[in-house]
Amino acid sequence: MSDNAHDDAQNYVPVVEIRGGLLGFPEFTKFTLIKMNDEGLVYRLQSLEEAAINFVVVPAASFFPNYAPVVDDEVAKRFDLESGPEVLLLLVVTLGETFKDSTVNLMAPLLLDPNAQIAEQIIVENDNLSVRTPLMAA
Amino acid sequence: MLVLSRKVGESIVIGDDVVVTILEIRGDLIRVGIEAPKHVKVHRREVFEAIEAANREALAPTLAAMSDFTSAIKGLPNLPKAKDPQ
Repeated sequence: MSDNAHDDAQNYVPVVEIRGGLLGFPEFTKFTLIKMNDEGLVYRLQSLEEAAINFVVVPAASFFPNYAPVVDDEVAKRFDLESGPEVLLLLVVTLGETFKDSTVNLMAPLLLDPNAQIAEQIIVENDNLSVRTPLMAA
Repeated sequence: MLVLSRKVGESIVIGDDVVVTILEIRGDLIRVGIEAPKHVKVHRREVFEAIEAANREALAPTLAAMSDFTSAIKGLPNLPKAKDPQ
């Protein structure tokens, strides 16, 4: 991994298309993924259509290593999950007053295929998951 | 709103390719089967609304909040490093 993503053109993801947008925001589908820390633990997803539309996302694997949501067959096929281990699972963060109050949405993670530059917010039908899980429960 | 009465086993067709079938009625619980093309997303309304609300809440954090959050993450001990999407 390079600090200057341009050095590594093959893996550089300037633009991500979020198919269908985030739920509640279907009109915004083109985003950039901006790395907020060197370790790749925090990203900012910013709309290219409307700069005020932005979200903080974190890689699920770093904070919830046991999180393995079941996705439906159609999603698995769209992202070629069988043969595409490079697909990433990102969690949308709601920043709290303090870091400890920050929560993530485990019910609707984002699947991101960095090669295809396509993402999708999927719904995991599991009543044990919450849309507001404290990040520090991790 | 269109209101239709159905019995168990009866269906309603919506558009060309969505079929809603009443499978079972037990007290105040009704089991409904939905056949729809793969691209049609079918979810319970409250789940959908909870996610929309969570997304609205997550929207547009201030730069200060984002930078505080990023600093706090940095201070955490030994988080597994993420695979880099960039």
